[in-house]
Amino acid sequence: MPKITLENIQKKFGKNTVLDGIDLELGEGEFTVLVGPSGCGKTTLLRLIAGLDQVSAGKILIGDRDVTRLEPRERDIAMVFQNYALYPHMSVYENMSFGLKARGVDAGEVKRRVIQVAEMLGIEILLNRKPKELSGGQQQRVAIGRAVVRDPSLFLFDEPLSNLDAKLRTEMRTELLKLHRELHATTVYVTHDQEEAMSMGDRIVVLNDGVIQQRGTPRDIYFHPVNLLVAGFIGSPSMNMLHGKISGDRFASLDGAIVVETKNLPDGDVILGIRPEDIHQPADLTAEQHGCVLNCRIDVIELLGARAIITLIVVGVELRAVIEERYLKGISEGSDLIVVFDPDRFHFFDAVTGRRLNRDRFDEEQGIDG
Amino acid sequence: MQKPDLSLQYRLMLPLAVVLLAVMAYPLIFSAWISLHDYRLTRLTDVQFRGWQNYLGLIENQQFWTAITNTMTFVVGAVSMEFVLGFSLALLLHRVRRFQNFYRAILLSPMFITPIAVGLMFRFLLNIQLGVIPHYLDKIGIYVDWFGIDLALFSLMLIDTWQWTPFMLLMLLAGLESLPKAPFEAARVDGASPWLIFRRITLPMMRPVILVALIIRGLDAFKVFEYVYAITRGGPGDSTETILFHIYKVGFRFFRMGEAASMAYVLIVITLILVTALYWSMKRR
Ligand SMILES: Nc1ncnc2c1ncn2[C@@H]1O[C@H](COP(=O)(O)OP(=O)(O)O)[C@@H](O)[C@H]1O
Ligand SMILES: [Mg+2]
Repeated sequence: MPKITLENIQKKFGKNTVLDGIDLELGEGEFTVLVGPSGCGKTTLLRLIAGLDQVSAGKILIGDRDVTRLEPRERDIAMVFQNYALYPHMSVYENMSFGLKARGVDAGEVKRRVIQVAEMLGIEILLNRKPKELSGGQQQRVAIGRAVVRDPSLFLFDEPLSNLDAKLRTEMRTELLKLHRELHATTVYVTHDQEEAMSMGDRIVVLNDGVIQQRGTPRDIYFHPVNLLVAGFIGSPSMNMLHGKISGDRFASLDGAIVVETKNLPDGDVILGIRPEDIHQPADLTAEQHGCVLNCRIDVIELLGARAIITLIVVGVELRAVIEERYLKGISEGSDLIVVFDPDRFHFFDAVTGRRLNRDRFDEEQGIDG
Repeated sequence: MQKPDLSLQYRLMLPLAVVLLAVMAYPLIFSAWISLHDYRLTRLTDVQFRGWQNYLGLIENQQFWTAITNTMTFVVGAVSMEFVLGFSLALLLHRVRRFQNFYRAILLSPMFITPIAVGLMFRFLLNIQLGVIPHYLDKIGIYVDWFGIDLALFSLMLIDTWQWTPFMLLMLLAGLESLPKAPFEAARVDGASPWLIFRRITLPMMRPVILVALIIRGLDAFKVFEYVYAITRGGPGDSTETILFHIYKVGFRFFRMGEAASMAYVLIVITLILVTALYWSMKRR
């Protein structure tokens, strides 16, 4: 039985529908990442689960207990807020022990658990400080400690790393994952950062405009996006999209620059998606993988280190490609470059509905409708 | 670089400094001088230096101590009622958005009436023979002499509460609304009951606002004069004789300025001590 079940959750603010028909099941001990652009309703969903706001329709179950109308304190959920929401007038120790004391845990036990968790998070020397005497990273740890110490049935994290600098963010990411491996607590982790989502989740749920677009493992989401929204949102730099037409098992882009053979795809207007890393140098692929060879002009080169993002122009269309740094020798902005594509890595989407068209073995296994 | 001409700054400040000296420093110093003399308006030709005699005399002065006690009782009673009422109302109102401007205007209106008018108004409302309130209380079998010896001081506290609870409400409401929302939500998720949230989150976070509101109201209540002047004139007996009214009586009715001035200085010292004590007790944690 799943630990947490959301059934057809809807949330309206006045006439504005922010969440619409959210169904979600979280298994015991699962780490689910909820990802989506800013304003898509992630925080709203977490607040509904926590009980801070009331659903407009739908049901929330913990185990088989219906908690939809219960107060937050009756739900046994811990939440780490985006801005930490520490109690400003309390010391770190008091911050962490507040929830336990509120639940009537006896003083000795409170002390034991707070100290144990503080040691686990490396904040035991901060216990007597006030939040305003802590750095952002330390406040973050306290907020996490406050949640962990309660040993709740569900953890909610609302973009907990978004206020940290890049280096600290990657460190904390690893640490959170370690923590999860130790505690095996059921967790919903919200982020707008698709890279963070990819690197953290057992399972990713992509939310957009208040609707769940896709759920699956990071690999599923990345390699088999079910629609244009997901395809465009996941991956950086984002997927190249080319408008075109399929007729008689042949795709031709509108400008005619790209022509490839297709199999089992209906005729009509489509959008072809190509990930930047699927644009290769001829030497990278064997001859039979050369589905399509293009002669482009290099517009911009952005060196990232071991790899570079290059912007290519083909008959007025811009393509972004990620190539290895060694290929940069001998090319420069303005020079010509020959690139090849592997048609097995093409993503086709219906130009009208945005849904994925090409079915591969993966789609058959998952039973996803094409 | 040229040195800035400091003397110009001082010269520009001079007119204001002179005005301030004339209207503030001069009366202060003059009254201090008066407080050390036997200065009577009826015997201005015969002003004697008395040293600390005026001050020492106060220790024995029963009327003075009665006035101090009355004032203290009044301040503590009135400000406590205003605080409890004001805070309760603020807690009730701070989440109500509907008709917000309407009820706020209604609730705040007593504040804008001049206290002497409020005094006169209640003098008639509560009058045992003419008043509309005793009239209706009488109909349901309750007979209360609001300005009798037992109740007079308490009635004055009620009037003060009527007029100044809105001020308390305004300050505390502004305080509540400026508190960050996040800690309250965190506490709800943490499992705290509304009462625990009030005690452990609301009260401590409101501490600075409460402190300021209490000090302002306390100092203001210390100066109570108009209600006494308009209604009881210190009576019955000396049951409502507050310190300011007593000073007024001694100074401007009996013309014993020296004694009145010494009382005024004692009052300043007492107020300073009280404010400092309150400040530190609230500030400490
Ligand atoms: N209390 C509220 N009242 C009205 N609209 C709200 C409220 N909270 C959120 N919204 C709206 O709901 C949408 C989703 O907000 P939110 O859940 O905070 O997005 P996210 O966390 O994904 O960035 C936004 O368009 C926001 O304007
Ligand atoms: Mg958010």
